[in-house]
Amino acid sequence: MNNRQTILEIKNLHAGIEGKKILKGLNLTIKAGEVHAIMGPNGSGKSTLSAVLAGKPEYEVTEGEVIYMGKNLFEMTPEERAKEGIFLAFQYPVEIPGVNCAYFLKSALNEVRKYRGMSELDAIEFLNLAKEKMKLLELPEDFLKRSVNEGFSGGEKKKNEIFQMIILEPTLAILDETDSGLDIDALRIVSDGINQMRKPDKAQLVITHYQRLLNYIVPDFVHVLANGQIIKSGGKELALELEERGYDWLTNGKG
Amino acid sequence: MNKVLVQTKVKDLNHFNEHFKKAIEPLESSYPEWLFNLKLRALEQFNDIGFPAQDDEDWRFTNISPVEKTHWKIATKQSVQNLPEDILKNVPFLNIKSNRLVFVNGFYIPELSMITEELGFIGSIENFVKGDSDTLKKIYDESGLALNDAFCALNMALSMDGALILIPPNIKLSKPVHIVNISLSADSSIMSVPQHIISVGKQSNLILFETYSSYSSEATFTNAFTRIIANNGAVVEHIRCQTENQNSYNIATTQSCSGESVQLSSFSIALGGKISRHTIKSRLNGEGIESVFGGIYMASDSQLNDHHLVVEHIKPRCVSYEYFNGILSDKARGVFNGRIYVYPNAIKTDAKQTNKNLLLSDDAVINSKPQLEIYADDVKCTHGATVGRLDQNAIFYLRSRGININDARRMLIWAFASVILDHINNQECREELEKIVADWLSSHFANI
Repeated sequence: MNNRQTILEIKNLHAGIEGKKILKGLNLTIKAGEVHAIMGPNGSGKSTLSAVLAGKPEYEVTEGEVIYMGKNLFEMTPEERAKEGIFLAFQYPVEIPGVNCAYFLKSALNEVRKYRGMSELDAIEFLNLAKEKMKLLELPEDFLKRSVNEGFSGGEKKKNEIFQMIILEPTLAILDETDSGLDIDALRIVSDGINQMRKPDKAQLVITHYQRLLNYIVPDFVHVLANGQIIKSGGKELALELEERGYDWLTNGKG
Repeated sequence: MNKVLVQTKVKDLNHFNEHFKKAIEPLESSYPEWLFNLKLRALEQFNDIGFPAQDDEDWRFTNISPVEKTHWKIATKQSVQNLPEDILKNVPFLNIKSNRLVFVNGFYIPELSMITEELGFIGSIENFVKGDSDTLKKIYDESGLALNDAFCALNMALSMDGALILIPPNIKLSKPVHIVNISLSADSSIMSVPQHIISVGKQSNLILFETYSSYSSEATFTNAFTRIIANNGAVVEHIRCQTENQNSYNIATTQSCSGESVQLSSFSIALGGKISRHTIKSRLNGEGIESVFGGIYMASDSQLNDHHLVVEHIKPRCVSYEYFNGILSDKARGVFNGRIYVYPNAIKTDAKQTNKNLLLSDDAVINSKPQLEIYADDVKCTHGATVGRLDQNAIFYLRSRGININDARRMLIWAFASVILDHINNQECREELEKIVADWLSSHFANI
């Protein structure tokens, strides 16, 4: 394990929004091939962490550093991070009327490919690739023609996130509450998609409130985030313990 | 004691009258009597009312004093002799095969026109009026005259030419008809006064393009008036595209009147002009009409773009959907006024209006005024207007997938316009418009 490449190293991260401090000294190291789960009560900073890693402009980093693949993450724009292989599956995917899924995803994929020194895909090559991956996620045929997320059901929106992830093949996928709003069937399909991206040279950071998702995506490490810090780390069994005992025993300092 | 100040309109309308004396009166004998009398009446009416001032509610946000102050030279047939060879260079939709009628400064240019379908009449009014003036009179009577509007009255008085399209019943043209309007100004400020008349017979289909463009960058003033009559069961798609230069003034009225079960789509794409105003008046005068009115206005620098839309639901069970989206940057101003009027017996009316505006700078301004006047029960009418900036969450979403910030912005602006274009049925035209909008975006927003 130790000789595997470090993909992400978060050191003493302090960050917040509109002057409000949310992350207060967070440390986390993720190596290639690993799946990390971050769990925690509402308001603990889970979504702030994903937003800061993806580079959402309104969030402010006040202290600490994040090294991604040996580079200072905070020197990169959101689009550079995406091209470098960071992917955030949004908790609330944004609706974009008038931009169809095919045009959007082909533009994104070709930006990423150009950056990685690969040739751009033409319309037919893209369509072939997209259709193959759409089957995995059981997406309807007219999906590519529809405006991005517009009028999508909750399940379709989450599938669309995972569909994009599979097409863009990120090195580090951050999955923010991907299980929220999914029924059991959709949860299985989405999880299969995520597991398919589990590879020795890639890593996943799964942010979730409930243990349910972790039955499908089995993490190597589970971390508990509370009050802006990771207060406990463990193996996959920690998730089960949290399910049983809740978060109170940790946050009250009685653990 | 209150003193009422009456603002007297001191306006110099003389040169219009002089032009009438010099250019129209000598032709009295070539006009049928009713038409010449109509022109006299229109001129009188125009002299009476003069150009609208800003105390006129319909012109509150559109100050046309620059039009008024300019001493326009009204175009004559002489101004369109010896046309430059590349006169068509800025005309949109030329790639689409069509029956093409070309007007330069409001005058028909047969050498540049191409009519391949000899059905009914597709040609210039000037040629037609010398022959069958009764048909023309009937159309004028049917479509109403609207002389209470200064620009329509002025157009009626001064107009000498324009397109006349008469489609007999039960005809489906294989190609669209394209009315090309080009403003050409060599040394002085030219004013063009085209008047176009289109009558579509029962159960006939017509796709109509109406384009307004400038040959070069000089200031011109186009005062256009287009009437469309759609008889029972006709299917009409009208796409007007105005791409004049940024020094020009384009003030136009499109007036349509539809009969029973007509399907009417009418689009107004306005990108050009220093001041451009398009008044769209549509009478739904038969049961079961389905109509769509769509518009995109895009303005930058100090352009002003104004759309005034009046849809009258006169008979029961008519549908009208209105979608107008505006994109304004720099110090540009937009005006949208959309009025839906439902007559007392127009039950089961289904009318929906939206006007969405995207402001891309702090100084851009939009005045949006939706109006519903409903005098019938059992109707479904909605309207909504929004003003906003680019959605920052959407920009971030696109960036988080690797799309550069400027491309993300352009993509969203483009999408804002393209949702309107999606309502256009004619695919070739839609694709041409997509290119026109995209080109406009890349030339105006290269650095956003």
